[in-house]
Amino acid sequence: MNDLLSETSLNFVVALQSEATPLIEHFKLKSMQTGPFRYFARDKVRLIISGMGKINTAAATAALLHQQEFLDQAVCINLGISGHQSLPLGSCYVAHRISDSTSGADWYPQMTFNPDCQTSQLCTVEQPSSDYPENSGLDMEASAFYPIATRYIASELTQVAKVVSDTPENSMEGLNKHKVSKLVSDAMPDIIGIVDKLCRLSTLQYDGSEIHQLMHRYSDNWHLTVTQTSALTRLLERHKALFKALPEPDMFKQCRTSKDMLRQLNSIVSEKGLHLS
Amino acid sequence: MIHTIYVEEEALEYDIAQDILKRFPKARVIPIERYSKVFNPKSQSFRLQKTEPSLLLAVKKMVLYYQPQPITGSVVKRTIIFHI
Repeated sequence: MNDLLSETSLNFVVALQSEATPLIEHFKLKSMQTGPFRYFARDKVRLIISGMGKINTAAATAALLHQQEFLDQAVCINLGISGHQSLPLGSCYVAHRISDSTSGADWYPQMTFNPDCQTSQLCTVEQPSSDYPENSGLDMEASAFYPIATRYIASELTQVAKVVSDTPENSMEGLNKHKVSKLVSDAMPDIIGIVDKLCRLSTLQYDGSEIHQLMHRYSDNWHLTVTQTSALTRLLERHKALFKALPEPDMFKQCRTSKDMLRQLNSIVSEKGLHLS
Repeated sequence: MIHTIYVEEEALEYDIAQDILKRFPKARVIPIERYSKVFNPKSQSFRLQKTEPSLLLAVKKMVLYYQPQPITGSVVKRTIIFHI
């Protein structure tokens, strides 16, 4: 697990401090005093506390992900408590369908990572409610989190995991921050299982960070148009596939213009490339 | 091995859909309204999808003709073309 975390950028969006505390303790996160949201981080693990509601969640998700440059292999999870009509109190589940009660829109997070815990549909509402839809969870964040997070991260690596805090038989009235922390803390084995599977899946994702970083060095040396930038990216990818290494910009220092540099790189790649005859 | 099967609610009425579901008794069955909400979403990773493919059961909807449109201004051209 620790090996995986060193490779994968792991991001949590959590509504309440009491929900976040077990995660902060488990991952030994440290508070970072930046921006309008409470933010915790250590190495590649980041957690942001959004506050309740859709607007807070959307803003916090964007704030968390927008500051990161390389998200090809990143994982993002919205974790918290929710009501549920049929699952038992304290059980952890992953949302396989998220619907928004206000707009009627719905999303289907991809179940590619095949979680060991249960999955369920989840309905996002504006206000706390005890009117549970059939076989569905009830929360106040997921429908804002998911569409924003999938703008940055692959939909397979963006998930919503919830711990059941109230049911038709156990109302939410007695809930306090200690009980919420206890519920999340007790569900940590399931949560870690979800994180572990997602991190494993993320390692299969193509990592373009090396090429992105190299692109900055190329653009320092030559002025590149948008078309030339995408052409250079493709050529660098081909070069890496053929030579198992990336060409340093110094190789083309005799090229005065970006056009010359691209032409020379293209000739190197074409020469080595597969020729079917 | 298939772990997740998305089924259009309409498809559940078909015997062939039930036969397929019986072949995967341990699979997670997720009812959906329309296959297009699941199939090929934005930000999908093709590489990751191939590691664990899901099954999608949908009903083919045959549209053999277009309903006549009220012929007004901007729709005249389109209506004429479709009714030739």
